[in-house]
Amino acid sequence: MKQNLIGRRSAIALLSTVVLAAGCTSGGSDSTSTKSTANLTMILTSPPTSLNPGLMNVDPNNLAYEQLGYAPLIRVGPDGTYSPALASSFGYVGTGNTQFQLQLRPGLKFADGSPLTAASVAASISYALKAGGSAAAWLGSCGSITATSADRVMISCTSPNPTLPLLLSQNAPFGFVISPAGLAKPDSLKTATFGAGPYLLDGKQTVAGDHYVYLPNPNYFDQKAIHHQKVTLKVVANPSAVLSSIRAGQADLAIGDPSTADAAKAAGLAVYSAPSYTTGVDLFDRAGTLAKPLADPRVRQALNYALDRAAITKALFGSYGTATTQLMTPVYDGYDPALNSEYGYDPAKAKQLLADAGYPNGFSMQIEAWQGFNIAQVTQAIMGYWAKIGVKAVLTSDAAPASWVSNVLAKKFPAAGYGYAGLPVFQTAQNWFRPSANPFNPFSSADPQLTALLDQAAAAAPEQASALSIQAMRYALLQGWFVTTSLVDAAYYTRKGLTGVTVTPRNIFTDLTQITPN
Amino acid sequence: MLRLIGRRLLVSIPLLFVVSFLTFGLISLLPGSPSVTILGPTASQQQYQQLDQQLGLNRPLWTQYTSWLARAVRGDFGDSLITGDPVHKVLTDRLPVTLSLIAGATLLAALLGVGLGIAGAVRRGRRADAVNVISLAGSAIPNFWLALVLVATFSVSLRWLPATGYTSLAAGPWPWARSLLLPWLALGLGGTAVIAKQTRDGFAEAMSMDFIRVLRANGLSERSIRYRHALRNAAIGIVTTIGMVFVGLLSGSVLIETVFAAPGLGSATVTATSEHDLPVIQGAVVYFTLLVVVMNLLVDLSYGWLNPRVRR
Repeated sequence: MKQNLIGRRSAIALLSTVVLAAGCTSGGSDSTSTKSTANLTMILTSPPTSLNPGLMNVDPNNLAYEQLGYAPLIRVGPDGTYSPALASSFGYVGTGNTQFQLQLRPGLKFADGSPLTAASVAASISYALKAGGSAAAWLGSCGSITATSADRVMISCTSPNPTLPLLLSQNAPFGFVISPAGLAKPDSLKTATFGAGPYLLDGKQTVAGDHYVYLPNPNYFDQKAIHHQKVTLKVVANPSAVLSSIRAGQADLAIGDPSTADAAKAAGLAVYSAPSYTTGVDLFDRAGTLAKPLADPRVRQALNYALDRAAITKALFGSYGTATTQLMTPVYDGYDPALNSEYGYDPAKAKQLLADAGYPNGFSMQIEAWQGFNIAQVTQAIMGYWAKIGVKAVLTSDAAPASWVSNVLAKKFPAAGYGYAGLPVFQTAQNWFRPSANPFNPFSSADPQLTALLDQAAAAAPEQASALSIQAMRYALLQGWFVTTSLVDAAYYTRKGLTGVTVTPRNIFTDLTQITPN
Repeated sequence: MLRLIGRRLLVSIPLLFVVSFLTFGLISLLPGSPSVTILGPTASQQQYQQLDQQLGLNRPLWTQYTSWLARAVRGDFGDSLITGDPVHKVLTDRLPVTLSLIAGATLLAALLGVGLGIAGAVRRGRRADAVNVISLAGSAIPNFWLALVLVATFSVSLRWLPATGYTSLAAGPWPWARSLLLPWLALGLGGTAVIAKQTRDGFAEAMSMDFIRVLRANGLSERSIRYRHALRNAAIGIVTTIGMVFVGLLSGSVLIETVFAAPGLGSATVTATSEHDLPVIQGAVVYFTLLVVVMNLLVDLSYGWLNPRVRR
């Protein structure tokens, strides 16, 4: 496992679900200042898709904008452990992962001075569930959120959900508690912060789409954790400009990019990286609606055996990638190093499987890929290997992710290149293996055996969940639902001396509130 | 003069209508929706459709356009679908950046271009050749490449100038100019070549005219002949070219604003296009069209100042 070490290459920031571009920042930093006068400037590659936590698309860019203005109920640390934040204690009640209780700290206030109570927490989570954000599905059947006392909240689910601590942390939207004033005017959530976080957005100094300025929240419950008098999030989309900005001293840290990571390292910047997303091709037409051969598992297996994953990964990601067959990243249940020995490079076996399935001369199909995050390049590399076993894929690449999603959901293609960030099996199953149409499973494919395995894993206690998750993911892998080639790093660049930056496989979104001036 | 201004402004009304309609139509043909930008790629089809409905994107295209147009004629371009900010605020905040960038780059191109053009016309031999080479090199070098070289040299290596960003004029003339020096150079040098060529040709032509010989015969100094008479004679062509350069730099500013992360109209348009934020795109197109109309009007008005016969 690679972890935040200076000199590592960086990959990219990704979505918590799919990879989207991340960014960097620029801005002045006052490295000689004391705690109370220091500024922090971070470069991000894109503006927030929405400042409204209820509509937030979970990715490192968006989380940075939200984490400053909204305090989470629970804090997840670099090692993946959970600790108190707004909630002083929390945990599942009983067995089965269906009841979760939160106990709030006393005397909490929102930035506007109004009290933060269990009722406001319940109202905020309920709003986030109904606002229409993509993460709502992750909360699944946990639709009953009630304040059982002035400072206690109970979340009840009709089916097991083992990921509630993560969903209530700083890395997901449900933990960001919105004040009653914000909930009363949801449109205002797009342009201002209504939370209880360490900072609040200063609309006067902010230019939407360019830079966002945050000032300390005098009502934050942990004043000693406010390390900067001003935090600026600057949007710079071009990776070269990101690197130039931080090298020119205009920013303290930035989200990196594989194309500039070597240069960042050579320039003496600190580079923090950790495996964060997998990439390959999603064979989502599992019923053969558009490409009949894909309905046969032997064909999908042949497409896996045809690849030299190590060669593809080395060529495209160098030392910032690792060859893998798996959808999961190493820190989550469902990942098993042994599964990487499945589908060794074996073109002869691939051809034999195609022949057994009735396609000795191969076949043709259309394929789509988004150009971001090297996804199109990965797809092209895979297509090259497929051509050697007679499978001719014709690529359509999209410059914008919106076009990619639109085409995929319209079921215009039987397969598509993908990038998928590390998430627990529970969320991954919802995106890939449950019969709900979304960009990773547009044909709403499902397999009863796989569904049963996933159900068991979701309800299991932690000590059994791992084995059950591996069993489910092994089944999906051997069914050939996807062709994964690489596990790719995410990265941050920082100026020398900045402390508190942590990028780990468990927590690839560095927590800005932990960064301290030096 | 007032009639000319009025006529120009009247012509701009159908122009704005046509441009906005074409833009709306073209953007609507692109696959994708702002809902995907907001929700990301892991939402369900139902969630995308629900948000599309909330944003009013499931209405017929014609209805969406007429609705936008009805508000736009009252000066209300609506709100950004992504940020929720009023479009007029988004664009008005960014207009000074683009104007500063374009005006400065045009001024730089005009000063260098006219100077090189005159030098090329009055000098002979190697000096003239050198002027030609310099001006041609200016047009041959891609502005984004030049931008990267300038940043690498003056921002990263020397740390004299910022690599990215924009400082408002309100912060002081020097901080403002400092933030724009590199973008001005990157953008303006390309226009220099065009203006230099026009100046050289126009100036040389004027210097070969009969009235110049008459002026010489009358004993006027060469300096006076060149700069009071020949240059003025060539000025209409030069001003026209400067106007064209200004309009051309508007498109170039899109790339330069992106490279320098300057929050101008160009970068806003790029972002809005990738996000399918139609109200911002429509508003930006209107702003750009108005800038072109105003520039052309200024060029027309300058004809009258340069040539009294036009005023009659």
